[in-house]
Amino acid sequence: MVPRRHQGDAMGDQAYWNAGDRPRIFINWQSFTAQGISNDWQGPVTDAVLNAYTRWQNAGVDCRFQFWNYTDRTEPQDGEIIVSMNERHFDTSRVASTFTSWRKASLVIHRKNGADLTPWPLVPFNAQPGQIDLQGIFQHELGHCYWLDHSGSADDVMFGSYSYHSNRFGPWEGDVAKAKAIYRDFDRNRLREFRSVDGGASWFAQGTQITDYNNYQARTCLTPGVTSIGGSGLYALGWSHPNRIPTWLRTDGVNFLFNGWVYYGGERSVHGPALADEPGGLMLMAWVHNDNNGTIRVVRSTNQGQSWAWANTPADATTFGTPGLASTVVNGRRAWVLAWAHFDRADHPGTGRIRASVSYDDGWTWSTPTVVPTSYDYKSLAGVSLGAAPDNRVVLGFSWAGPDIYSMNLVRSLDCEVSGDRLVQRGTGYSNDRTRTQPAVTYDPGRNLFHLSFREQNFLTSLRVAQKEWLKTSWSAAQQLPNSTSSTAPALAHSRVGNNLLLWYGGE
Amino acid sequence: MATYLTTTPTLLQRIRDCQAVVVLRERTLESVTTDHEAREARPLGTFRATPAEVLKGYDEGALTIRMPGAGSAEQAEQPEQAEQVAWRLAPQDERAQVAFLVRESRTSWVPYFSSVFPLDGETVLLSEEVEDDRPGEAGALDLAGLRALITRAAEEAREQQTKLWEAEPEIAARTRPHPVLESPEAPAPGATSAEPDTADPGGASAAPELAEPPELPEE
Repeated sequence: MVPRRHQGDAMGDQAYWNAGDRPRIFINWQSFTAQGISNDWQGPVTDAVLNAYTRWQNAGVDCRFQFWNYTDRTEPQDGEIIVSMNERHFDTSRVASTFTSWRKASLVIHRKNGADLTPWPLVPFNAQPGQIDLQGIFQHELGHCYWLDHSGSADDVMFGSYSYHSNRFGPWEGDVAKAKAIYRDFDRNRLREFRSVDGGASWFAQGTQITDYNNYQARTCLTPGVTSIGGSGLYALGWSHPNRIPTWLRTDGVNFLFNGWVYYGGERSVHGPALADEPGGLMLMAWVHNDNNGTIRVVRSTNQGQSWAWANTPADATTFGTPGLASTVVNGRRAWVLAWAHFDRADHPGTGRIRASVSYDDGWTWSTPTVVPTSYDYKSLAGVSLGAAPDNRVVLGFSWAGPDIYSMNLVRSLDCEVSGDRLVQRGTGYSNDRTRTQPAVTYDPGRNLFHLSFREQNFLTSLRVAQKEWLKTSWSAAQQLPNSTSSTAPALAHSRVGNNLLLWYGGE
Repeated sequence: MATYLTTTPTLLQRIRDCQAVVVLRERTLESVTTDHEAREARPLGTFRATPAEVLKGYDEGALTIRMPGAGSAEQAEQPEQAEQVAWRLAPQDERAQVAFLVRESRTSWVPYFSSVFPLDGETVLLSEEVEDDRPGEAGALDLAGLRALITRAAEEAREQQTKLWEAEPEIAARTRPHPVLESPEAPAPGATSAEPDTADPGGASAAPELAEPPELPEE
């Protein structure tokens, strides 16, 4: 793309919502079809809106958008945002506009470039270079709905000119800081657990100390991470506070060891954490730093989670979502796999591809990251997750950011194994389910199955679980967990002793 | 509050995303209307042109091409200036031109990001605004080279589709070769908000409605 003269940042009215507001988004779909947009795009455009505000929820502020319905109205009422399309914005190269007043907003996509009448190459799915990513456009305009002004940093979602990387994969630190300056932290997502003691055949909501603990530090707006701690019968649960400070505690699944509870106070995690262990109880934990490249951090615990120390990180490991971690054994050697959805502001085609790195020395050194060679050029919508059997069977889960309206958000998994210093695909796990966040994966040695859980795209954002064998192509029909409305993606772990499957998530 | 596009597509992106590439050797000004949507009234030219060659897309015969003019609405009212004002892309260039087009409506086309380039013999004179992202030092772009790039883009689309068939047959069965080209349907006549001019009896706004735009062939 060639730099072009900037048309200037037109200022509009600004909106303000009360803390705790849940602005209702309506889409005037008739206005889209009136501009020639195919009816086939109604669901995908809606998904682009929902994908956009799902990412904004990572900012963790107490003002959360919710899609409500379609409408033929053009004017928002109190508490509403109406999304519509018109022909163009005068003779300018404006792609979208947001007009706001107190607790009302109109978000207008312009079908054409007013300068030359070219229909904008807008797409609701993951855009190729040269196309305009509607999810990214919505993320920017929803930022205006948050009362955010244009940013001077080209790295931010709120920069006034469209950029695939800045728009689609934010919000970035500058955006989050501004949103948090306006709204208080959203601190009502408790850490919650489902448990299965019959290999995933049935699940029940497990009461836990941390769920009941009425404290800001026991809340989260990001996906938690969980792993067993070797054969101890304990688990390590990691999460980020609403202010994104990462922390962890050890638990037996009900009671928590609060003694010595510490936080990484100098850190801000924007995605993650992911955790994994090996049979001896050594653990790695990874999260994503709040720089504008999404640099992955890795820490290691050699004392069964009492404390952690910095481990090394694969070179140039940068991402826009939660990374995946797992351990397995390759030719008698313990191998750790770290996988992530690649992010590089200078590489549009490469962004979203799944990369992995392998460590044979517990995270001291990592192999050069490589794109996992896959049967198709899969790209991830959000993060990834990993589950591994001890015999080098690895399953990597992700939500597909496909190149068309039909593949958007589909749950996919790659059945992999470690070959040398690479993770290579051996099969694909298909599902007709869709999710806006990464699914979770874990291995169940008792039944020799992999379990997968994801947050479904219904109004409840409830959780579902499915199972499959390695190299089997289809996940089982996903079972919905009752009363499982989740604000985050789930995390899964299986105990190395006993037959306990744990599923953790953040929910009100 | 708004989002602006401050970049334009590269040459290869234009080739991939436009719906038609045609060689125009002559054009006829059909009408000039006033664009009332612009902040300052500007002319909108409507031309008819029969492509001398269709490099990409379907040969539909004569095309209606609309574009905003470069001059003022008052200039456009002068018959001797009207064409130059309305055809703002190399307006005084009498040479043949290559146009990269997308459908603006069921009956009319617009140059994709103003992509109309004069031909100097067989050489396509790209404007400075277009980033030439052909791999290597490709030198000047001629029509043969453009045809090859169009063929290559079509091959890449087919290769992608083949890979999708192999990895995701259920998804591939539902997709068309190129979603950007196929999915947004052109708006019905009259959808434009430009007010029809009384001196536009045969303009785009009065054009008869086609039942369906012809399908683009597989490339």
